[in-house]
Amino acid sequence: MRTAAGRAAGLLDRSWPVLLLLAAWEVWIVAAHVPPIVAPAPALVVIEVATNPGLYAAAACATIGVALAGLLIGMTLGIALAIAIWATPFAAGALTFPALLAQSTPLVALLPVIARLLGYGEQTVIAAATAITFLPTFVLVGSGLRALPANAADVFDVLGSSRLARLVRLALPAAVPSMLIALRLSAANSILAALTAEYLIGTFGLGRLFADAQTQSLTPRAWAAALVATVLSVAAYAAARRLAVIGERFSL
Amino acid sequence: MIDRRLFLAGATAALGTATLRPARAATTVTTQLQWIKDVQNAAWWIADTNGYFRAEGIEATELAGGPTLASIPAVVAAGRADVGIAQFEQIIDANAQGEDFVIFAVLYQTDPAALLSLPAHPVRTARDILGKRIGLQQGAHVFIDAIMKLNHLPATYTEVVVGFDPAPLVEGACDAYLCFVTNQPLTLAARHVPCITAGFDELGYHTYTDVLFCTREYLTKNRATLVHFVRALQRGWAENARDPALAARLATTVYGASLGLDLQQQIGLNRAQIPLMEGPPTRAHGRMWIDPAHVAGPVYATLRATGRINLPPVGRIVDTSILIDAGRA
Repeated sequence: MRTAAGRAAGLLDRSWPVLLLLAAWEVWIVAAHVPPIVAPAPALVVIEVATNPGLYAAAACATIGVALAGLLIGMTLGIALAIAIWATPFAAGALTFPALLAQSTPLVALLPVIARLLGYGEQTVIAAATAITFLPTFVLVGSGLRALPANAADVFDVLGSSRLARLVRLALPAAVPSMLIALRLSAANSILAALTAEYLIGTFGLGRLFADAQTQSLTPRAWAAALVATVLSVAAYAAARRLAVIGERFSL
Repeated sequence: MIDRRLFLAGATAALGTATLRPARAATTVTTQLQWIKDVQNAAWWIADTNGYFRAEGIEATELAGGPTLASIPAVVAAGRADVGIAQFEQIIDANAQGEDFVIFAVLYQTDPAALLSLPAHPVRTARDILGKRIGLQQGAHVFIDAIMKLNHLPATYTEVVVGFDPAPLVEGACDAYLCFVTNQPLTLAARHVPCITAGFDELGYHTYTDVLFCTREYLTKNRATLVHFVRALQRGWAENARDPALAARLATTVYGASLGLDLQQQIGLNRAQIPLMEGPPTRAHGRMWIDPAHVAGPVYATLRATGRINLPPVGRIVDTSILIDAGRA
């Protein structure tokens, strides 16, 4: 049986590098007389969050909403396009290059184009988040659909299965582990994507809070927004990993 | 030691003994620019090219700014630049957080910030903002909120976050667009798009855009250097007013050569900014003048409307002695 002290020791065991980093940060600020406008001490950042819990909670909720929407749409789109490529070689030629192009173009350059298509608003923020989470799913699921269990394809050939049956009963189940990897990769990224999009064109969320804080030279607030975003990213990654562990029990 | 040499150099120059060159050991002054290295910093390029800095014993270097630079006051606070160019509000905010910056000169007498609109949905007054979609760069909503408050109007407008390209206005994604009168209106005019501008001063928002500041410590230790620096810049601005094409050429071919700037656009921008840098105060006191009475009155009233309380005594944040000494040459 694990005691509370044991748990605490376990947590310390895993998080000591972070704690060491925080301690070094605090020491650096004090020792080098770094003004708060350049870099605030960690304690100042924590106090900033603690004294304005409502502000950060509301912003975090908005960011989580955008990230979830982006993740959901991005993964759905990635899976759908991967299936399209699996189904017809024509789609492979038509989709692979634009998908890679979209991914290798910086979001900052893509945004005006997305905004022109969708308008300047929440939908564009979500679309930007989608653009970032889409590619890992598209690539991983695309290869997963082809990574079939040995001889399984032969069985389907012998039984004369339809394309649909092959997709639903063979290729998709075979691609589940890839989907779970894609989820794990994209979950933390989706927070980053939401943050970036909010920072550039959003009127809400942590990204906006960060931008506003910068405009008003409120460095502790900007860092606090970044801190909350970091916590969200780590939480998103942990949640996705949990989900992946559960999901693996159901995959082939 | 260097300060004394510079002082002597200044003194000899003041005596009119122009043949005596200042000491060879020039003092380096690094400026963190507010924007990219374009014609907006005309005086720096002219003073460098024409030797005004050298004549004052200054070795000037510049760091580019621009929209990706998080905080100019932070750059100066960290000691990476001696002098910074920022919004007046940024210096107030920085000092409220414990910094001790001093503003010693200013570039614009009239704020170039304005709301740009098309004749179909004109915005000429603060009242016209009501119910409209206003295209703003990220974070700039605080200005419009303050304008509404200063005019005793509710902040009922829709914020549309846009970039530095006025395309959303022309496309109809917003009814008005926060611009610099030296930039986007000229772009639209070149494309024969008729447009209306309402300057921030006309809308009731009074501030100083592009103030020159440094830490109090730097000012105390390098007073003579700053006087020489400002004097070289004043000569640069004077020359710029005489020949607006010179700095535009320097920006496009030398100092901002890697930016791919357009010469005609830079000339246009320069011609538009020159009148904004002049006015009765500069005619009375010299170029780059900052008026403490204007700060204490309209500027502080504006800052209070933005929610900034506990404003410092003006003498604590604005020091006109550098400008006064520079004018004594």
